[in-house]
Formats: sequence, structure tokens, C-alpha cells
Amino acid sequence: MNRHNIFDELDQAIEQMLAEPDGEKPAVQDEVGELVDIASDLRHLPRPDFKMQLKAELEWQSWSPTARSKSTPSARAQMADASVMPTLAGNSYGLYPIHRSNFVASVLLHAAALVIFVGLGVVMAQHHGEHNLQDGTKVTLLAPYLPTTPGIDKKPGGGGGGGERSKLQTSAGEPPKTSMQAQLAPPVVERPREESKLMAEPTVVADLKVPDSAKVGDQLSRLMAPSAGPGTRAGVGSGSGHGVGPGDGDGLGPGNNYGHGGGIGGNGHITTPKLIYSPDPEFSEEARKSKHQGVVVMTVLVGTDGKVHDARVTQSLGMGLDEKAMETVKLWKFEPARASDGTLVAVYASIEVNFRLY
Amino acid sequence: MNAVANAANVTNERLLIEAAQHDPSRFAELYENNFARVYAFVVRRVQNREEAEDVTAEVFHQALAKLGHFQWRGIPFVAWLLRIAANTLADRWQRESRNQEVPADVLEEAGADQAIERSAMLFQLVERLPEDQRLVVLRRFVDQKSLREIAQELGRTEGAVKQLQFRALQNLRSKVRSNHESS
Repeated sequence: MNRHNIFDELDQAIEQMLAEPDGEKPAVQDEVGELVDIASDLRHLPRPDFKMQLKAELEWQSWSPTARSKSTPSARAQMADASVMPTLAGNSYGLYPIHRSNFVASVLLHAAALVIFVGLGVVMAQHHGEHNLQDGTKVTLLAPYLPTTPGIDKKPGGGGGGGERSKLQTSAGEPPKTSMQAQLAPPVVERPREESKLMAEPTVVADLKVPDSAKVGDQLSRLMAPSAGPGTRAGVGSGSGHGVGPGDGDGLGPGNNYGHGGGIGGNGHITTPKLIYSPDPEFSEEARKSKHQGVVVMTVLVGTDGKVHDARVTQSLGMGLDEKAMETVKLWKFEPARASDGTLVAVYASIEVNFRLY
Repeated sequence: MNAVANAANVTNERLLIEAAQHDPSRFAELYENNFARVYAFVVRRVQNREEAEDVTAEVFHQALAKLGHFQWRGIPFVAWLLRIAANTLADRWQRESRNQEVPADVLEEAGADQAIERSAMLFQLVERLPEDQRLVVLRRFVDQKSLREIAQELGRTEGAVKQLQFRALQNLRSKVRSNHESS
């Protein structure tokens, strides 16, 4: 039988099982039958992040006896029953009765200590410059490119764009130098081979720090072949003008005129999302065996809810670690980025996921 | 040879339990060794991923809390975990419908169920699939995405994803077979 027919028959059977979980096993020929049985079991495959989450919870509870006893509904029900904890009230045989005032004072003292402890932790976290929770994790805002996702009703700042009517999308790279001075030369992806000494340095009109890079292009692009993009009027991107991005003008990003960040003219300051919860990634078996370690760099979309909505690998480590990084960052939580008027905004950011063997 | 290996495993498990009783942070290893079987046992009975995850979490939380009371009597640790799972399920069902009887198979001797062993083995084998095959399996069966959606996400053709799905299941079948032969 044709292999393609077998692939199709198997897929149809799987589709049927997924659509009708309580239905009968689809009738298939022998060669596919055993695979359908396996597929049937796989319908209940646990989510890989569930296993990791539960492990993290158990590890946390293993050093926190209080949390451990409160972690399950049945345990909580037991806690509610005072007779299970006679020592709390001192009403068991052989115990001194506890004075209510002492008990209240003790609770207040413990609560005060807890507040100070938590407060110090929050202050320290806020003043920890690079938002490193996972050891060495760096979060870099890819500032000019606010995604056009629902929930962003107000975009600060301006933008710009351009292109050379290329059939290719814009190639991967960083924005050129920025300056609020009048633009003397528009950005180019490929510099002429013989540059004149009098040639002005390409810039875009924006007030924003951008990483130094010799390769001008779109931070969100994967295209390696140099291309100024399908836009018009000599800039870089899909827009129109002398800037970089999908907008119209001499700035950066999806807005108009100059500046960065979307909207019309001017500059919007956007804060970098702060990492507030970052469980370590698991090693793949292959990487652990060969003691392979390093850093996976990813571009992620951090939503206004602080969760990662989209992630892709921009610097791969291989041996299954890219996929482990992908699974892990989806569990990470951020304090979302804010525009200058305090509005929460979804932004793309570059993050580093460290894999270290100790 | 198998008997020697089994004896070594039993000793190893006993040492792990004793270590975890003294230092609960060592419980992670017991969790890793037994997660798949507990989950497979639960999901077979509840037939629902979310509920199975809920119950599995409850089982391991209880096991960690009660580990100090566990006494080694030569019975595999997983049997103790499955007993907790059976009791948790029975409690849940009684709570949810006080008038209904608890299904008999919740209380059956769980360790002997070959179907559970097979499911647990499958769940573990998925983790060892080549990365592209593993991703297709997760997207198809966990996220219940269509082949077209998976193809778009992975930047491949629908035909290539269909082939990867077939290869993944074939791969799992041959690994299940070879595991059965070696055991």
C-alpha cells in the first residue's frame, strides 16, 4: 500500500479519536491498527510543563512544612478542624492553656517580621538592575517594535520605515545609530563597497539607545540574506520613508514622522519588562549526558498580563535545549512593560536562558 | 541477570526513600521515577487530562506530607503511591456524588494493571523521541492542534508533519516492543 495512504489513514483515525473521545476505535487496516492504539493512549499524555510545575511545587514544599500541610484540599479541610491541632489552643491533655493575649501578640510579631522580610525582598528585587532571577538572565527590550496586538489602544511615540521595493522581507539586524538631529543619510542594509570619506553616517531620527551592530535590519526578522525590505523611499523595512520599520517617516517602528514606538511623531519611553518568576529550565537527556551547556537567546512577546505569548529562538544551543528553553519561558512571569503615561504595553524583548551544569 | 538488576533497583529505591525521609528535598528523585505510572493510573480512571493532573498533584503532595509514616515492607514505593491515588479518587467521587457508589476498579490492586504500565512507558518514551517528532506529538495530542496548524508553527509542509507523526508513532511502537522483550 502507498505510504501516503497509510499516513492519511492514520491521521484520519487520530482526528476521529480526538473529535470523539468516547467514540469507538476507528476501523483501520492491520498495519495502522497498532499505531492507532498508541495514539489512543497519547490522547491523555500529560502536559510537559505540568510535570515541571508539580516538581517545582514539591521542591518548594519540601523545605516549607507549612505550605506542605496546606497544599491539598483534604489537608486544608483538616486544618480547619481544630481538634486536629490541639497544641495550637493548648487544650490537649498535658498542655498549659494558652493565653489569648500572648497568642495575639505572637501572631502580630510574626506578621510584622513577615512584612519586613517580604518588603525587603521587594525593595531588593526592584533595585536589582538587570532583573536577574534565573542566574544571569538578561532581558533586553526590542524597543521600536510594539506588536499590534489587541489591548494596546494607545501607542506612544512615532516611527518610520522605508525599503527598496525588494521582493524579500527585511533581513535580520539591528537599527542604525539614532539621533535627534536632522537625518543626513538614510539607513542602508548593504553599504557601498567603496565608501566616500565625505559620506554622512546613516541615522534614524529617534531618541533611543540601540545596540551597536554593523548589520542594519529588522530585529524581528529571521531572514539572513541582506534585504532592505519591500517598502519604499530608501529606508529599511516595509514602510515608506527614510527610517526603519513598517511605519512612514524617518524614525523607528510602526508610527509616523520621527521618533519610535508607534503613533504620530515624538518619542515614547517604554520600560523593559521585569522578570519576576523564572524557574530554571530542565536539561535534555542528550545535553546532560554530553555535558553540553550555554545560553539560548530568544525573542519573546511579553503581553500586558506579564506572560510570554510568543517565543522563538534567535541563538540556538541544540541537543534539545532550545525546546526545553521554549517550554520553560512559557512559565516565566514578567512585570509588563509600561509606556510613559503608565499604560501597560505588550513588547518584544530578547531574553537569555542559561543552561549550566554545576 | 534480571533478578540481580531487580534486587539492585529495590535496594536503590529503599535507600532513596530513607534519604527522602531524612531530607525531603530528595523526594524529587522519587517523583521523577514514579510520576508517569501515577499519572497513567489516574488518567485511566478519570479519562480527563485536567482532572488527572489535579489528582496526580494531590497524590504527590500527600505522599510528601506522609513520607515520614512510610514503612519499608519490601513492596515497591509506587504501590504505596497508587494506593494514595485510589483513595484520593474514591474520596473525590464520594464528595462529588454522595449517593453514588464508588466504581469498583478504583479499589482494585493497581500495580498489576498492564495497560497502566504500557501507558506510563509510552509517556516516558515520548520524552526520548527525536525533538521534531516529540514536538509534533505534543502539539497534536496535548494541544490538539490540526496538522495544518502544526505545519505553520514549525514552518514545514503539512505532508512533512503527517510523515513525522507517523514516524513518531512507529518509533514509539518499536520502543514499546523492545522494552517488552527485554523485560
